[in-house]
Amino acid sequence: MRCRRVRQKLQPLVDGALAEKEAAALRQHLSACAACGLEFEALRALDRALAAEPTVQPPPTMTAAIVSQAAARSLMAPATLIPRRLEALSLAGLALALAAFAVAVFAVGGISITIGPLTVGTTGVIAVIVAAVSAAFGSLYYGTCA
Amino acid sequence: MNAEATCAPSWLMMTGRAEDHRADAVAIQRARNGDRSAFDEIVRRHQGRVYNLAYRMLRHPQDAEDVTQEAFLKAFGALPRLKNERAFASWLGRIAANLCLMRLRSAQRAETLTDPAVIAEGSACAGNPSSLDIVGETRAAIAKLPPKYRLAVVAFYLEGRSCREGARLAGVPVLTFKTRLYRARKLLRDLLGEVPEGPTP
Repeated sequence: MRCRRVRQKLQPLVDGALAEKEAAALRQHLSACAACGLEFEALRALDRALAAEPTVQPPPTMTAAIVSQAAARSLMAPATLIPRRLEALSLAGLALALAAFAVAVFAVGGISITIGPLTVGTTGVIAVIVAAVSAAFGSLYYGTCA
Repeated sequence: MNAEATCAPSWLMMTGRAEDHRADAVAIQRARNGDRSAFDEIVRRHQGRVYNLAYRMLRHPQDAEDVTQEAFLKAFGALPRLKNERAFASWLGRIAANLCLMRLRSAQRAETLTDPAVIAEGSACAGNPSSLDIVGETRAAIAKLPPKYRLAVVAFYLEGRSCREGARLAGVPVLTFKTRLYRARKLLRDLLGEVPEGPTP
């Protein structure tokens, strides 16, 4: 086996990730080649140095601190997702209703016209009713979820 | 380039995964229903791993504590949107890893983290001066690595994650993770010079 090929396989050998046959071939090369042997020893030393890192224990108060923070930020309420979704929907509904109302007002040519019943056409009346009903539903929806 | 970074350091065994994932899924469901004890259980089960990751990345107990807390709170805030409950552990790890990287990048912590006082903080090896030296030197070298290389070393060597898990943690393809690990090893060897012999496991 050539040195270049051996060098590529040294780290897997250190990690114990090679098949026994391949590992044996590498070890045979290492016993005969001083340069590759030194390289292997250096990798193994680095491996051991890294493995000597001890595990640290989190502070004993950590669990309580995290859980109380979660409670303080209202992250523990049951099914927090549902109100949020509804809120998003109701906001969209409210915006839509307001938009419809604005369009309706624009369609009949301004609020002053709607006050005088005689000047408002049928389309205008329907638009105003639809907009008012949508706005009412939108606000109601929003009100129940906020 | 040698992308042969392999994936199973022999000194660390990964814990029984499938059972843990199932237990996570059950606890998350309970948490979603507002069961406060489920939050407690989730934190207890994962805080050690998250704290160790943060501590090894930041080398500062208070920073590690802050990141751990922030990671859990972010995860809990997004819990309703989590689709695969069994992937909670890796999702949480990724949140924590990102928080660590952000901290390292934004606050230029690298300089303060190489503070010898922090690095020499002996902890578990205090009884053995030679292994303390090795740990200290290795820590100092790791602390000098760019954040993304540091994450690769921490994930692979110190946490015993596979390359696939490390890649998931870092949010990069496996090949990218292997490349980072390879470059990190080269840098570490340059930084450490003659690598001291570590204690035989």
